[in-house]
Amino acid sequence: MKRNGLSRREFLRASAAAAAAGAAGSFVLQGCARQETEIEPYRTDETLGGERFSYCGVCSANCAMIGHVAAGRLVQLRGNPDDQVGRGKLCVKGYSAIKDLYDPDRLKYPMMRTEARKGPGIDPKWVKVSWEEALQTTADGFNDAIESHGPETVAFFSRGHDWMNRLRDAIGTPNHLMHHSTCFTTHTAVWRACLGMGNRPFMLDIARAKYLLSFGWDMPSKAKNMSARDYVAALSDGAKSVVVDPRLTVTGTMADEWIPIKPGTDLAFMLAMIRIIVNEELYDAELVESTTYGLDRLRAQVQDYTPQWASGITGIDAAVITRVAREFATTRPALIPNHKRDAGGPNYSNSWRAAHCMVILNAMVGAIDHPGGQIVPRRPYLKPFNAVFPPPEFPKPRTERIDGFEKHPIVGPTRRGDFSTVTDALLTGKPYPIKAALFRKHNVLAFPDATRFVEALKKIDFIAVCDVWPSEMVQMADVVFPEPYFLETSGFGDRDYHEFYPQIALRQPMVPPLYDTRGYGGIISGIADAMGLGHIFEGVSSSTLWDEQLKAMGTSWQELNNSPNGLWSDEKPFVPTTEFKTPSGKIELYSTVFEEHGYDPLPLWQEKRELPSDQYPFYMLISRPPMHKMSQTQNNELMAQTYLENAVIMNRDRARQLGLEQGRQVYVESRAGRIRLKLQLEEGIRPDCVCIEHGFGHWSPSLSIAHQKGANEGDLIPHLSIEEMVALKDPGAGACMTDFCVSVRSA
Amino acid sequence: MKQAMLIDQTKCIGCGACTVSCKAIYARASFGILRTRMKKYETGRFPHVSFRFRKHMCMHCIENAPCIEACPVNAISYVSGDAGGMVIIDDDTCIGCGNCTRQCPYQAPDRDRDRKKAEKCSFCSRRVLAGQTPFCAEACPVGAITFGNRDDVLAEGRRRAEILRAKGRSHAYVWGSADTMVLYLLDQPPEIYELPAEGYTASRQTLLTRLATPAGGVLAAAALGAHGLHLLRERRRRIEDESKLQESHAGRADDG
Repeated sequence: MKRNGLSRREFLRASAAAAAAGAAGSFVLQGCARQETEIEPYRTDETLGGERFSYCGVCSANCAMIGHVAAGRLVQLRGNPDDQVGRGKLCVKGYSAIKDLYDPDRLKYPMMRTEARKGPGIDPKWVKVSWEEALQTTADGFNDAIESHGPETVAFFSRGHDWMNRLRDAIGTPNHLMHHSTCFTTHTAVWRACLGMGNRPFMLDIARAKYLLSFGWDMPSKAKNMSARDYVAALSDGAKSVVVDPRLTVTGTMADEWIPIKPGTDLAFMLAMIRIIVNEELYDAELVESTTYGLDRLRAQVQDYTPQWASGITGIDAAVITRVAREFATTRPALIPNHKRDAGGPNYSNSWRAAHCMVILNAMVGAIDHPGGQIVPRRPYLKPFNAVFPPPEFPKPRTERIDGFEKHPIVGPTRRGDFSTVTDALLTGKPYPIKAALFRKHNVLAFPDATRFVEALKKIDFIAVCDVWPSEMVQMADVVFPEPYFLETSGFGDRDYHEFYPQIALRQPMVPPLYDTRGYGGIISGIADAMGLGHIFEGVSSSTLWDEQLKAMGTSWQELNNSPNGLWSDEKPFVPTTEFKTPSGKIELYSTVFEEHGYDPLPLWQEKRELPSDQYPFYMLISRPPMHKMSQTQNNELMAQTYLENAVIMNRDRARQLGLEQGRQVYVESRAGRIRLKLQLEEGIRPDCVCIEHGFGHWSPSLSIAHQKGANEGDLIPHLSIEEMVALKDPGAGACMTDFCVSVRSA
Repeated sequence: MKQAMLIDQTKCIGCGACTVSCKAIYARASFGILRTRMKKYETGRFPHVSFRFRKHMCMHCIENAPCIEACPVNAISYVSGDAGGMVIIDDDTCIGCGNCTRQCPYQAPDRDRDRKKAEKCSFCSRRVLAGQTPFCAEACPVGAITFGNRDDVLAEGRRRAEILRAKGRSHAYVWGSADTMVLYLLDQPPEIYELPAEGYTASRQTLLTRLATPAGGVLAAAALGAHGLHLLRERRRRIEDESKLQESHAGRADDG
């Protein structure tokens, strides 16, 4: 390019010379003159606009947030300083939520497909329809299934929701499925059995702990707000941290010690720890005596689990195991933090036993419901929906579920369902088929053996999907209901991921709804109406519910709305729990509930299900990056700029031996499937492992940013048959999310 | 009041909350062009391995920022006021040539090829002048970013470094003590983080070496003018005087 007879390069150089010559003496003066030309949006607090209160809906931690709205547009999200969970901060996902609100790819109106074929690469040929048509079509789909095949052939894939639960009960189907068997049901089972509580036992008082021993617990890497903050605070306060994990995580690299254990052998490490602590009587004698049950039987049980024995299984020096056991038991407060997919999460066939060991070890050092330990959230009394609006008499549903979840006596009553067995049931129609289904979020990428799950979905005659984004699940839908994003909705929520005293956060709409959306409750009652079940929601409204619930707590919707900080708190002092809702009233190290239901009442060593072979030589690890929430946020413009696609992470030396280099495209294959990804080499991972971060491989072409970025490791996860699941004798019915091995070959 | 930002990389979890909360506000740049971003640095060999993050951003050189000198159209300048050396790019004037990125010892300005502009941290100068905190410091969920009075921030950094050294992290030190508004608390040698060993002094040498190439000759000649050299000598002398700031190096020397 020529400009005034100079090439661009010459022009730049000449300009540079002139500028530089002038700069030497006068740049400070220039600064003064130029300051005013700074362009927008160099915002100050004054230009951020008025404040609105909400709490985050990206993950279930529900950090309370303050939004700044200027000229009708949400400009910025901040944490609410008086909130127990976030304490004035949000995580990367919370700050990014603003871009989900304004994601142009969002679902904007109800739609119906006109293309009968379904699956990746097939255009559903959407047509925009009215709400009435969408609701009536769904009602007809449900009623057809009920009349022709029975009410149990209608299935709900959705988190529990008062309105949805009532429609489910009115229809009379047992088939309600949620994602929890892929997430934390092993922990739930152990807490229910040993402590008589704890559907979501994740509240940790890390900040006050002085010794943190993590078995795969890695919430700082996932930027879970309260965990990351408290972990950093604990370390700054001089806590010692030891991390047992096959991969070096953020938690691990910040820790005093990283122990790269062989995957799925944490149970052996913990059994040996228990033996040392019991035999050397290093436990908190007073608390163990007064609040636990079964120490003697435990002592007898663990005598074979010597550090030398554990060393052979875990690949960790016996001396290290012994030292860690002694340090853990003698430094107070000590804590084994847990949260969902740590070593006690539903990763391996033996994970529930590891979760049991975690409860035992925490109980032995007095970490259960004590400062610096694992805490039972002090939730406010939430008056149940059915107490506010008593339900009519409903038919008793068929006991047998398609996923066999009723066969698990401890977690069965939670009705959370089994994601790993449901695919088989849908494909084979056994024990009976599903003819109509309602999905709320629960994207296909989240299921084990995701590609096979897509095939299974084709067997369902009618699928309605409620979502905010045009996910893969939406691509499989017959009818699509657009929901508002949480920043457009009202409500309140408690702080149960970090609730030392009851606290409620207000949710106000930051902006009016951007699109023709309806809340889930409204969609459900619309479907009920169109099905001829309108009476089940007679007199039911969320405003009445909220007011009744808030009044039962001692406040009201109006008072909460007028709260100067968007919060209501009942700051009672913290008193440790001493009575537990178990048969013995104590923390049952020896679980009489497990015994009663035919599970091992004490943890025993059990090898994980699958070990490396010639065909599949690598252990598989799955993680999640801090800036994404599962498979939900890859289309978020802000999060995508920090992490756009995943890779397969391998030890550098191991890759060199295999002749594979950084960035090479490889196939990762398991007995379930094969995916193609870029190779990312690290030192901080065991040579016998590979790790893939979850959430990627979106194939919905309507997700303009996320489409075809990375791959879904869910395609590698083998599904289970009901028989296989029952045979595992896992009281939590965990989905064995990483209990398989893989091969890696150049693509 | 001279101000500074201390980024405690021993607390940083590398989550990118700073990156996204910055980009959410300063949104004009193209997709992927970020004013601040996280980089991960791994050291050692399995199993004796660790990694650290560094929040990459404009360091806001207190005086004689190389980018200001490098800009052919005078689009980069200091913000007046007594906060320190907040360096900003005037978006209207910038032609996106990339000179600032090339001359910056930290490669801080991001070159937005679609907009033909350079983009970098402004230190939230408007906010700072209004007595507020930069967005990233406000956002950090683990409290790794401290912003405020330079002396206080520096004292806090030294105090933290001392604690870390007492805990056995003998490398802990405050980097950038004399020359930049942005300071780091690090516990690995600076080269691990792609940082010059001695803050600005070394950066300046890097700059001069680069300018001594044929392509940069004209600029080098100008930049090496008597005034520039005088400033450089002044800075060296000042840094030597502030030998107490060099605690970091003492710490590292002990460790070998």
